[in-house]
Parts: sequence; C-alpha cells; structure tokens
Amino acid sequence: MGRYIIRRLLAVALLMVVILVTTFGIFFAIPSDPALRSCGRYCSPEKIAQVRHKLGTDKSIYEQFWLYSKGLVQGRDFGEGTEINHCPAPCLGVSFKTDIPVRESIEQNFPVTFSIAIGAAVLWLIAGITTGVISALKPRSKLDRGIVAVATASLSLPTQFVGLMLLYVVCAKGGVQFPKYVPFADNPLLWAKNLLLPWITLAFISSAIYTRLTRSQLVEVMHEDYIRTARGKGMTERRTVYKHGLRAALPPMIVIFGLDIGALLGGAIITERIFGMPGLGTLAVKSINDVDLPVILGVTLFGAFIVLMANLVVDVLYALTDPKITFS
Amino acid sequence: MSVRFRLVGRNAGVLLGVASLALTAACGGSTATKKNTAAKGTKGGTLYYLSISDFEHLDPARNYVTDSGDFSRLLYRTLTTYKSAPGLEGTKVVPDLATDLGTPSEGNKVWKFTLKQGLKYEDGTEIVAADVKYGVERTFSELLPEGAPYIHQSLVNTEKYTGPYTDKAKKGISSIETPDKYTIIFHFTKPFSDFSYAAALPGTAPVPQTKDTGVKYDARPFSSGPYKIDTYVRGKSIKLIRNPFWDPKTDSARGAFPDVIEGSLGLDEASIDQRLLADNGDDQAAITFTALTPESIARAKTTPSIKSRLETGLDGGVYYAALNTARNATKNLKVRQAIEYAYPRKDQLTAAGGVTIGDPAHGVLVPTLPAHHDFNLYPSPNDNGDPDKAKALLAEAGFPNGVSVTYGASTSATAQKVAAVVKQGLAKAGIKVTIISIDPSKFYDTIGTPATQPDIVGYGWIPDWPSASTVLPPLFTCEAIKPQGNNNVANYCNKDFDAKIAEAGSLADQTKADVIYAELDKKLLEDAAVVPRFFSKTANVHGSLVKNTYPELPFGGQIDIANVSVK
Repeated sequence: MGRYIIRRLLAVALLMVVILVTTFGIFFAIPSDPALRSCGRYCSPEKIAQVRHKLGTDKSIYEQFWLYSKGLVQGRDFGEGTEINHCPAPCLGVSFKTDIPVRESIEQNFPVTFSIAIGAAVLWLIAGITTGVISALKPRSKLDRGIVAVATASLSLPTQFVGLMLLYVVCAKGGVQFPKYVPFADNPLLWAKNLLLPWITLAFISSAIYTRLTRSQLVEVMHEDYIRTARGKGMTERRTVYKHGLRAALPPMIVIFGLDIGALLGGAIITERIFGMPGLGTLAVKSINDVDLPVILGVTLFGAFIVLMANLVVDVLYALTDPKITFS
Repeated sequence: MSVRFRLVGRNAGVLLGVASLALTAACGGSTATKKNTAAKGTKGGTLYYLSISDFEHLDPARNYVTDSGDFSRLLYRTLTTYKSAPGLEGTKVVPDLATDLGTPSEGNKVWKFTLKQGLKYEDGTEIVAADVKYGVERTFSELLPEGAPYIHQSLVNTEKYTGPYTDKAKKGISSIETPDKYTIIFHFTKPFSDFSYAAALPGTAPVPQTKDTGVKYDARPFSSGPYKIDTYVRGKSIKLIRNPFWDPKTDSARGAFPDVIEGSLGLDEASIDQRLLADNGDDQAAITFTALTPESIARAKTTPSIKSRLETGLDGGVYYAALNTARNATKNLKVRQAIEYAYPRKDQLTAAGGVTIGDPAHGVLVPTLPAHHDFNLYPSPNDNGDPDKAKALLAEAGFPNGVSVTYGASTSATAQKVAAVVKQGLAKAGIKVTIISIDPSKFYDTIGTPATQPDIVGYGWIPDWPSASTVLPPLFTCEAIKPQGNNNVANYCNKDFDAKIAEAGSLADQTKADVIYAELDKKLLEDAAVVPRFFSKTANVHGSLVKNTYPELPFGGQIDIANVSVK
C-alpha cells in the first residue's frame, strides 16, 4: 500500500504541474490586460508601462512562468528600493490587486469553506443515508414514494433559491439575526449556530442525491443471493440490512462522497456569498473578475490539490472497504 | 474607472464623484422633504456597514473610488474636505487639516495652505505639513499606482521622481515646500484653479514616514481621523474604534457619532437588500453603499415602513453613446446628426431599467454640476426619435439608401436589451446596426482601444469634483485620445474645443469658466460626438435606528457615513 500511495502522490505532483501550465496558458490566451485594472481612469502609456513593470507582466510569458515556478521552490521578493517584501517558499505570488501574498489569502479563506463543507457533509450523509435506507426497505410504499418525490424536487432547486428562501423565512420573517461567520476557535457554539443555515442549504440539495443513491444501491443489494441466505439463516432484518446490505452498498458512495467534498472544499461559491461568509469560492470569483493572475493560479492549484487528494483518499478507502479491490 | 463597471454590472463602487444643483427637482423631492440637517446626533452605539465587496484601497495614495473615498474619511483627514450637508450644500469644500481653502498666487500656479495646530494622529503625535508632503510623494511610487493623478501630474520638476522608496538622495520633491511645521506650498506647472477641490481627494492625507509600510499600508492606514482600525480582514470584515486623539472641535465635517463601526464585506447583493428591508436586530443600525437592486426598489417604494428609510437621488453619473468621429460612416457629421435624431432615447432608458435608474439626458454635463443647463438640439416626438428628420439628413449626406454602423454591447442582459432597442430605433431611419457583443470582462479593454472599437459604444462617467473640468477635458480633448485605456471613446479631436478648454482651465473665476464649459457641452452635441442617454440615479436603504442619513453628492449619492448616528 505504501508504494501505491507514493506512486499516486507522484502522479498528483505531475498533474499539478500540468494544471499550472494550463492555467497560465489560458490566462495569457485571454486578451485582457491586468495592468489596465490598476492604471486608473487616466491611463497614459507611461503609467501603464509603470504598472506592467510593477506586476511583472512586461516580461515574456516564459520569464513570468519561470519566476512563478522559481517562487514556488525558492521564494521571491516583491517591491522596489527600500520597500521590499519577501514571500517565502512555497510562494504562490502576491495579488495584482491587493499585494497580499496569495498563500495568506488562501489560509484565511480556507477555514470558512472548510467549516461550511464539513458540517454540510455530515448533515447530508445522515439525512441522505437514513432516508435512502428507509426508502429502500419499503420500496414502492407511500413513504418511499414520498421520500423519492421530495428528493427529486429538492434536487431541482438551485442553491441560490434555497439559501435566499431560508434567509427570508428564518431571518427576515422569523426575526433571527442574519448569520455571520464566527471562527471555531473563538466560540464553537456560535460557529455552529451561524453555520446552520448554510449547512442546511447545501445539505438540502446534496442529501437528495445521497437518498437516491443509497436507495438504488440498497434495493439492488437486497436482492442479492447472500441476503436471502442471511435471512434464511434466521438473521434479524436489522442485522441483515446493516451488516450485509449497507456494507455492500456503501463503497460506491464513498467514491461519490469523496469527490463531492473535494469539489466543495475548493469553494462553495453561492452559499458563501448568500450567507456573507467569503471563502475560497468567493476568492476565486473575485480573482477572475479582477484579472488577478496570481490569485487565480493559487486558488486553482489549491483546489486541484484538494480534489486530487480527495481522489487518493477515496481510492484507498475503497480498497479498504471492498475486499475485491487490491492495491496495484 | 469603476463607473465603467457599473455600465456592465451596476454594483461596483463608483469613482469619487461630485455634483450639485437641482437635485431635489431631479429626484422627485425625496431629499427635500426629509428632515435631515447636517451633523446633529447622539454619540454612542455600533454602526454596521454591509457591503458586497472589500474596499478597493484604503491606502490614501491608492484610494480612488467612491466607497473607499467616503469610508476613508473616518480614518484620515485631508487638506480640505466636503461639507457635511445634503444636496447642493454638500458639494462645497471646507477646510479640514488646513485653516482655510488655500491661498493661490502666481495665477493659480502656487497654492499655500496652513495646517491647524494641535491636530493629532492615533498615537498622540502631532500632524505636520511634512507628513502631507510625504503622502503626496508616495503617490509617485510604482508600487501604489491606483490613486487620482491630478496633483502629482501637475507638480513641477517631478519628471524623474519615482517615489520615496527609490529616492536615494532622500530629498523628496522640491515642488512642495514645507518651510515650517504648519505651512505647505505647492508649485504647479499650469494654473490649477480648482485645487481646493483636488485637495479633498485622499492624496493629501498625511502619512508619517515612520509609519509607512509600503504596500501593507493599505491594510492599516495610520489614523488622523475620528476612528482607527481595530481589525481588518481583507475581503471579509473591518472594525473601527475611536481614535481618542481626534478632537471634534477641530473638525466641522465629521460628526463621528457611533463608538464602533463594524463592516461585513463580501455579502451578496440580494442578501443585503433582504437584511435592510427586513430591519431585524443589528441590521436596524446598518447602512450600505450598495444600491438597491431594481427588483427591491419597487418593494421599497410601495412599503411605507421601508420608504421612510429609502434615500434616492442622482449619483452624479452620466451615461452616453459615443459616436466614433474618426472612422467609418460615423466620421460624417450628417450621419452622426442623423443618429442623434433617430436615437430612441425613451425606449433605451426603459430597456436599461427605467426612471428608477436615471433621468433622460440631452447633454453631457450632469444637472448636479454648476455648468449644467437644459437644452435639446435634437428634439423628437416623445423624446423617442425622429426617423424622418434622420432620413433627410442621411440623404443630404449622400446616403439615400441608408448606412451601416457597428455597435459594441457587453453581453450582459441589460446591455443586450438596450442594444436591441437602439438597433430597432435606428433601423426606422435606414441606419443598419450590426451589434458586436463583447464579454463584460473585456468590454472596456475593447472599447478603450481606438484601433478596434466599434462605431457606437456606450460609456459612463462620474466627475471627480463638482466641476466640468473633471468631465470635458478627460473625455473629449485631443490629448485624451490614448492607444489603450482610452476615455475619449468618441475620438473627438477639435483644436478650437481644446483651446476653449485651456482657457476655462486657466480662469480663477469658476462662474466664468462654467459659462465656457456650458458652451462646450452644446458644441459636443452640435458636432454630434455623443448621444446622451441618461443621468444615473441611486437608491439606498438603511436600518431604522440610523439617523441623519442623506445622500452625499461628492460620493455618488451614497449615505454620508461620517455623520450618521445610531442612538
């Protein structure tokens, strides 16, 4: 297993390089000059040359790529004359717009996104699997049809709608203070209280997927021969479902879950925005609007890293839960 | 530059803008009927500030949009500043750090200010003239490029100066003298008759050299105003607490009533609307600079409990369609005049959002500028185009069968709607419009490049202070035409026009200068360089506990944050 993980980590590193090169290439393919953004409303040719020099975009794309890559490994200096700021390795550059080191921005935004993602994931797993199991055990019953109907309906609701509705009902009409992000370390209780609405919003839609997934997996598994054998041996229904049914139905769900959470950690843009908790998603959108190359690169690399790592973890877990799969 | 984003998205901040006159007439009297008067209030409490985005820059050398311009007055003082008053009064400048509005000499080329004595920073040290000079010197640095260029561009003998960080001689610039602690003298290359207004820009805020942290200063400017930054997490939140060394007796422009100001940055537009309309809990003491979305305006206007908390008015902006005077069919004056006649002014405003977003315009100078006057050189039935007159002009120009023009429109829904309406309107006169759709992120890059711009493009502008001198010269002089980042999108170049601009700029008497500017406004329309579209309006809602709220014209008609109270 150790060798397998090392091999996979090498693949991750290689993919990261590919993503870096691609993002860099795409950015320069877009005919939008980031220097114009900082040049102001009276942008003279001298002024824009000055801004390009500050941003480093006056250099060739190859040189810029080289400097960026070098910064990742060795760190970099920014500024001029007496005003030099060192960005230690791995340096993801500094924002074109705010001059803040990109790594600092990511470190500041990730906890918010992580808090939103984790709570939502727990909620949707519990809700999705429970309703899925109930639904699967009584297929075609009224309860099952009800659950499937609700799941299908909620799947088709956009996050924007669910979030704003929740805010409207709970806060605007219900008189509850609008949520605001409180760091876990400051006050775990307030942290959870404020995050409850974003969690529900995200979980509302995702749990529907898990309901349907659990249901279809379990319905299929419950028709397997070994389930009949287990029942035939006189095993209780509860034990049959949990020990034999769910055990076999879960592995494919781990894959989906891993990918979902990976994607979510890269930023839950709409939820972050509606509830006023700017995280990685907000940072990504803003950087694109601002044509802020270092931030775009940083967030993309970080998001890609998270997704790739989630994939790796999923594959390892899959092998551990499904004896048929071996590391090779 | 941010006024440009508004054309695309109507939600970003707007450049420091100023206006005056006729506000009450223009906005249906809502400002006039309000009981608000300047700077009265009770101290204490916490004011909440809700915003869709972080401030562009709070570093005075980089601060050049309305949101940060308005907010930063809480943190630092400038040589002059705007009077704290609603409407026209609020566009007047008053002394701030200085004892008066400055004394010009040598034909307005030299300006002398005297600082008030005993003014203090947040650590109790005294504010001195050398710090104001240092603040201006910082604006020369390549590291801090975003600020307004007026002052540093006009100072003599600064061609080689690149800011304090690369100044090996450590001598600074010679064109600003500080003979003693309280005196500062500026030397300009040409007459700077409205320097009292330019001195209200953040560039004249004092920065002590020992407190300068370069690009990091943006996140923690050293306070000379009524508040100092307690915490500031970029993109997320800001908290201001009182600066105990600020003395209200020295400051006529800031009430500074709340004890604490807490800002939530990076919120959703729709959530801000919802929170302020709902008016629950802390939000009762909240304000925003973000204009209400058009969907919420209707609700706000019809619900009495919300209407009393609604502030509307002109924001000082003008929006127009520029006709490329340098190329293609629009190079022909008669063709341009035909477009003026055929343009469906009423329909395009409806498509853009109707009367809640603006009043129809027939000139470039906004009603809130002293140089504004009413005229309409191309009257038409219902103000919605006169295809017959347009056809006749086209025939005179030698195009009896019509002409073809290109029209650049961003791909945003509103811009596309407007484009469709204009296309339809011009078609009636035989002017065939080909719409060129441009991605919003590339819109201004594209139209700001004369080599690639379409024949007709939309543009918008908010003046930097209440004078036509910050509208006509940057938008319509030969000098303003740039190969990139061009503001003169009509590519209008007329030597006589430029000569008049120079004449007006050198006049010490603003009233006389305004007479010339008014003529030039008309001249632009005679030459059909632009089709004025509308003078834009803004609408803001605040919490029910917030008092002394009035739209502040110098800052795009948003609430004067330095003078509200929550007790």
